Amino acid sequence: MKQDARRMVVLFLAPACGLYALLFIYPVLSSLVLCLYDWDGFSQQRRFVGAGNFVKLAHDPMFWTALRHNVFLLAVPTVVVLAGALFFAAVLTSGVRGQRFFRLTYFFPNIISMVAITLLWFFIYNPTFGLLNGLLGKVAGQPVSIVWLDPNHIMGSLVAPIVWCSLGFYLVLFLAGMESIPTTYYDAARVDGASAWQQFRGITVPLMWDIITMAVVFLVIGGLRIFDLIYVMALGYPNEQSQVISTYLYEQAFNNANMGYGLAIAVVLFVLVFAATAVAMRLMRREQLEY
Amino acid sequence: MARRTRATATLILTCTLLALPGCAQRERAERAAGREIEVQIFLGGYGLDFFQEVARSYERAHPGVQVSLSGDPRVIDKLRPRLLAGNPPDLFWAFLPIWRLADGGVLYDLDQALDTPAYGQQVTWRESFLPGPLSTTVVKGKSYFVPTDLSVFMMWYNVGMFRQHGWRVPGDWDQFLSLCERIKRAGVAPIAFQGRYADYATPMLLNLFQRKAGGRALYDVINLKPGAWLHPDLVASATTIREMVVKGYFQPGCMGMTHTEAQMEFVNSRAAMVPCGTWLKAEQRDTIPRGFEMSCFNYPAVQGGKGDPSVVGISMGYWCVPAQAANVAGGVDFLKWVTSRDNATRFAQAKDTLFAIRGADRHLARELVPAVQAMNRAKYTWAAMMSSWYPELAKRLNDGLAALMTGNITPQEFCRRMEQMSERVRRDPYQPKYQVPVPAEAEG
Repeated sequence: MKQDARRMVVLFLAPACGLYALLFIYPVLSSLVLCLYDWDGFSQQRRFVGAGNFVKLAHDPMFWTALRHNVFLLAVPTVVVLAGALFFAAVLTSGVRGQRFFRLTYFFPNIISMVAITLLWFFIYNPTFGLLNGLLGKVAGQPVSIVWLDPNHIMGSLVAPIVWCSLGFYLVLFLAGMESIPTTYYDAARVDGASAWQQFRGITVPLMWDIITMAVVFLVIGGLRIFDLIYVMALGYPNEQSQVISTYLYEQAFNNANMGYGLAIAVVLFVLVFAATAVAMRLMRREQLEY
Repeated sequence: MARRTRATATLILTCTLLALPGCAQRERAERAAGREIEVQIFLGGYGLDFFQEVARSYERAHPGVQVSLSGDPRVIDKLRPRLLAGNPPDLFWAFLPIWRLADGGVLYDLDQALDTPAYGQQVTWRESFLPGPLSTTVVKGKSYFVPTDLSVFMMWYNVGMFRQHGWRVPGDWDQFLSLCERIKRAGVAPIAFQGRYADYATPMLLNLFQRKAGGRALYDVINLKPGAWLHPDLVASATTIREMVVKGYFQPGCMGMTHTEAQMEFVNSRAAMVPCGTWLKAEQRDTIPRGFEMSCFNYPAVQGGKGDPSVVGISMGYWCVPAQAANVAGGVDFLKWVTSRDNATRFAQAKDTLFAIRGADRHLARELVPAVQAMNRAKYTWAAMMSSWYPELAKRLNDGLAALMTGNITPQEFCRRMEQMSERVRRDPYQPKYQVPVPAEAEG
């Protein structure tokens, strides 16, 4: 019977494992090999260049520019989303009316595809008929025609849609965490005269530290892997003011027919994501509290 | 009952599985036997209807041959796996890095075919092409593709607005700048601009540079000659463009506009001019208001400049036959048919564009006549081939122009960056290098 059960487990797992190996492990391993070649991605002709693509990458100013943009999009939205989600979660758990409505409303952007969200913001930012310039015009009392997506503004303009579509997810995550903290801790703190801020700092944050760590890791990974928002916002043509590593990877591999070089960028991106995740987890390591 | 259903389903699946490779093999055998020609093309503004019609006319002229022609906006995604698998279509038109493909042996050498008679004319296929556009197809001394639709980069203007205000087409660059000033004073934006794709300014920059410094200096830039981007006249040309932005000659907010948004500003008379290729009318066909009249002029001369002011910048689409196609001969022959003078003329007329075939410009729309005249008058034509050869350089040129026009970098910095990028391309051991021969007329 035990033998049969094991056979069944293997049988049921085999298709999933096979597909995973075929669609994920094999391409990853292929990438690790192909990044050592100069290859256009169209012909069967390719030339072994060893670490040549990585040496070229180290001297490529666009790569470093793209990395700087990734760091910006990793740092700024992470801080804003974490602060915002924690704040709104705290407000919603304080017994405010219409909690369910607000929870759903904040979560709403998560059910829309990123491309649709980007297009929505694309229209909000339109310099002539966009909502943002329209609102600013109403406030200023005269027409405003700021070109939000021009090279001087595009990086800052990307923060708002990232925050808008990420906030709801982390809000729900934090709400779940906050609701699982026993109210007796807060009752005791209140008896001791702790203010709302002291309760938040002394009870909520420490008891939710694991969830906050997980959120930071997600946001760091998201910041490094960001692609669709920028690709659509830049109309498939990110320039040096909006290029990030993943769009640069795509540009090199598919537009410039430098598949080998593009894969070298992909490998570096993989290492960066891995390293950033490890660093974030290391920096946020605390003694685990049980309750 | 359930068992019977399962058995039927299994039978259907098995038959389908067996039939699929069978179909593909039969299709390839048909192509190898010359009975079928498979063509895949980019489905864009030109649509598919004209090419379908050409395919049917080919079938009528060649009984027993079937042309299977399909189009897709993402045709590259379909071509890539087929090129890699060694099973490409017999002919394709796609925005692929075809110079690199030619270099990698993926494309069929058309030289022999180019010396055979053209369809419907007493000349060879080679002689039926306009020489300037055809000269851009040479890779390592051989022609691996042929040019088809052709665009001339011109400055378009609103005829009604010019007539109403008494503005005239400028004779030289100083007059052009004065014209911009007059238009601005009249309360109209002088130039609409496709700022999201700042390389729309490349023809303006390089034509101005050619007018100032002469053709040789322009070809030095195209052929990546060391120091070419640091030429004082190129810095001066970049300075002129920056000054035009500072003086408000480009429409406010244009750096956030796409090509269609900027062109809409032009056709809706919110700007008097727009720099664009001759595809403008075709691209805006559905949005041009009734009664709107437009025309175009070549970039004007520079007083005291060394360059011939008749010269025009052009760009082209290219069609190729893969070397591993099952029916190479069929692909080549159908390409000859597509580029026959009759078909080229009909295409140019139907799609409001120019075609790289001699005499294909006989029935063009009125708006395109100045461009044809400019082409015919031009001592030579140039194409910014470095953009096709070196996509990274093209991208940096786009980024550099955006940074220059938004004032993020100075003209000197722009030229220094471009020179650095050219140097990177020159030193890149993995990047194949190309050279375009300098026309004798450009040497003067």
